[in-house]
Amino acid sequence: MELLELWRLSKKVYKEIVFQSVFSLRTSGAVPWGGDAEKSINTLVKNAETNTKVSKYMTAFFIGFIGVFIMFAGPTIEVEREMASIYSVSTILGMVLFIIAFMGIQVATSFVSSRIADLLIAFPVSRRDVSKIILMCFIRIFDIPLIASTVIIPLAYGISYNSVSGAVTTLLSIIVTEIFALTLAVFLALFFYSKVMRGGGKSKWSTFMRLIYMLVWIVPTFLAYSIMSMAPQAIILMKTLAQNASYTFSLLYPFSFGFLVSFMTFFNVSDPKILILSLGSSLIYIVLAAYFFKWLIRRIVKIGAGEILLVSRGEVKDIFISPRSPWLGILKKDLMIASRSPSYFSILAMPVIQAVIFGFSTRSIYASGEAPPVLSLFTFLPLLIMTSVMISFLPSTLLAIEGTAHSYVGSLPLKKKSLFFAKTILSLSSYLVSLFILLMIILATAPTLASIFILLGGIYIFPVFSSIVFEMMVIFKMSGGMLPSGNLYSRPISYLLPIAISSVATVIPVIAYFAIMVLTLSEVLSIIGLVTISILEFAIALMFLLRMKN
Amino acid sequence: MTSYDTQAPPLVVEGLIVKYGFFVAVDNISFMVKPGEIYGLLGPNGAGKTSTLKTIIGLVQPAAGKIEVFGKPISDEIDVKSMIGYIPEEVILMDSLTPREFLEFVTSIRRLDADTANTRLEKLVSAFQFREYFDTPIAALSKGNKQKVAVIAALLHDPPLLILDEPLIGLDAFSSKILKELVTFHAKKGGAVIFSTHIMEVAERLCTRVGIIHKGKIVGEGTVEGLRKLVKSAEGSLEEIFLKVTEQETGVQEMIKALEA
Repeated sequence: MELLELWRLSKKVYKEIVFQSVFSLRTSGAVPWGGDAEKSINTLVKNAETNTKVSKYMTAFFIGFIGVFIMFAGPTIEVEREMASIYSVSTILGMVLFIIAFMGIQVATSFVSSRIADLLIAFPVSRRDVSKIILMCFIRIFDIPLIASTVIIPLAYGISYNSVSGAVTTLLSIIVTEIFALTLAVFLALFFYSKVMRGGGKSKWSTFMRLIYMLVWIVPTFLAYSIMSMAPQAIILMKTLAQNASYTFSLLYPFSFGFLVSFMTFFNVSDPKILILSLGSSLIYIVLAAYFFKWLIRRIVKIGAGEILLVSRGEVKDIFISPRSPWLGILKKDLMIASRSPSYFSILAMPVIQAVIFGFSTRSIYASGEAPPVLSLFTFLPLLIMTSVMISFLPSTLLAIEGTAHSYVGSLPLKKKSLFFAKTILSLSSYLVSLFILLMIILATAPTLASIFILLGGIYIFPVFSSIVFEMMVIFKMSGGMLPSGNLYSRPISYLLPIAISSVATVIPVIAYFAIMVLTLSEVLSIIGLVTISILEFAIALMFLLRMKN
Repeated sequence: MTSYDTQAPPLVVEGLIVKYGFFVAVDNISFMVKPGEIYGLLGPNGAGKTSTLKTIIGLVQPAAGKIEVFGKPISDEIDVKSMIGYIPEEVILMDSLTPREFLEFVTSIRRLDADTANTRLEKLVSAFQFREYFDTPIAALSKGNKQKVAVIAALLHDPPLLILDEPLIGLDAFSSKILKELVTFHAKKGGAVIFSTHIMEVAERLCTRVGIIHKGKIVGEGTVEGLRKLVKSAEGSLEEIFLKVTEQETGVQEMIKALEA
């Protein structure tokens, strides 16, 4: 079969992988057939493709932006241009490695679990062609970011340092880096798949380990997105590292390539030892990349053919189960699913991760410990709003878990009250954990303000509770009283209104606070307004819950 | 479990209409399942079998009609679902859970006490030879083993009414036999069963009565003997009766000729 035809065929298979990556848990059971179903499924497929395209273009944009920024910012550092070249190239290589490896990990995991060969086996395609299609699918996962880094970074270097030989060496180092990144992505995806997604076991230890693996999996992904803001600090870091121990660092990736590119740009040998060390180690890295490339191809073909996936059958000691009360059963099940699904876990962990980031980034505002109470309120209230907005993504996500096996779960005598209770408890828990983390940061930086924070955070439980309940009520109303199908990733538009309503519910008490403050300039009255509106919202939400029939 | 009226018929369906947009999937059908009865719902693909069963269990909203389970309307959602054990046609469970975790969730929702649940679980797991897969994630199970999880989950609370949508698909011969025996035993002790199937031999051997559904309407109902008399085919198998009743017999002959040509 011709390469072009294989490439075309690989697009179909790739689309299926993309679909599976967005639907880490399937939704087909919830979709009725007939006229509406076709439209519904088409929307889901389209959303899956759009999400993946957006993610790929964003990755490419990040790489392009950082590449151009670093290559042109490098020469502005107060060092010689030779040194600036080393820092720029080392920084960008490190960042490309990180971005490609971690941004592609989710799709790579779907690739690992998709068993592409199963899709191809029915076609009259030779084994050799199946291998080629599998490889092409893998390339499609990373195509745009890889092209972006291969083209933009050497080009930016060439223009910034006015050197063709330097640009060509940068190109070589980028190719090596891309191979390293892809190897890392596949290695992590395989590791993740074997340890998390296929990891059964009833022990608390295995559940705990799954959560740890999931954190290891999720946190770098978050960091990859925030790496853009770290570029200037990264250059300084590279500078410090390379300056302090040049000989050692000339041996290490990515510095060895930094030294090599610098030499190929300026042909200035100030220290022959460093040149020999960096050239030697770069050659070793190139050989290593060639080996990894071969490993990658072999592994990808094996993954595609499903050769590495075996049904794990552990020894089962007993078949005892422990039924709990319905809400606790739902809660436990949700946690189990979240501990194995990156999409659910990331949304569940988002408020907590955000609390850490915002807690540290805003600490300078109140860190002096002498900030007046009003300033603390102005700092703490937006912090709480940001946390609660993140919490507003949880109810829809948690409800969507039920929708994934709707054709079965829908047949259970599941009381809406139990469902609401369990999801509310879980969402509130995420808020409380975030609150605790923020409190710890405040205690460490401005302990005198901790009591104000506890008071505000405590009051804010009421609007957060109400927003969770309101959101779930709107979702149920919109899905005609049935469990919703599809999660936030697959049907973002459907969840816009419920999330917006939920967010508004959390913001209203704060708006009331500021409005009263502006009108009366009285802090006491403003806080009374905040408390009153919060409790009013809570009372309305509670009334809805109590009036629920089932 | 919810107490139920043992005097009331396990299932009454009257004038049921199910629509998807403008498409009428079920068109004014009525039937009843009595205690101790195994009622087979037969029909070609897209006839409306699954829609009927999904409406009974509350997964699809009817456009019109009445459905009662042991005298309770299906609007009494929780009570009705407590009395039913259901196996869906397409078994989509929560793939990332293990059967143990999934069954814990199901028994929690059904409010079963640990002793009752575990006593029954032990028997079912042994019967379906499922022990070794108990801690394997559902995603990693074969279709047949996933089907076993659904079967065990449906039988765990010993429901008086079983609704089984193509329950034998994917099961190996041994497990099929076990399920058929369980269904028969369930009916013998007074329970009721309604199930859809494409396998005519199974329906013929297992069902007390069958209803043949075609294009959303019930076109024939009764015992296999009764249907034979109805279509004047004293020797015919259920498959022949089915083809006659659904007016597909001539079509089949023509299709075979066309294929042979």
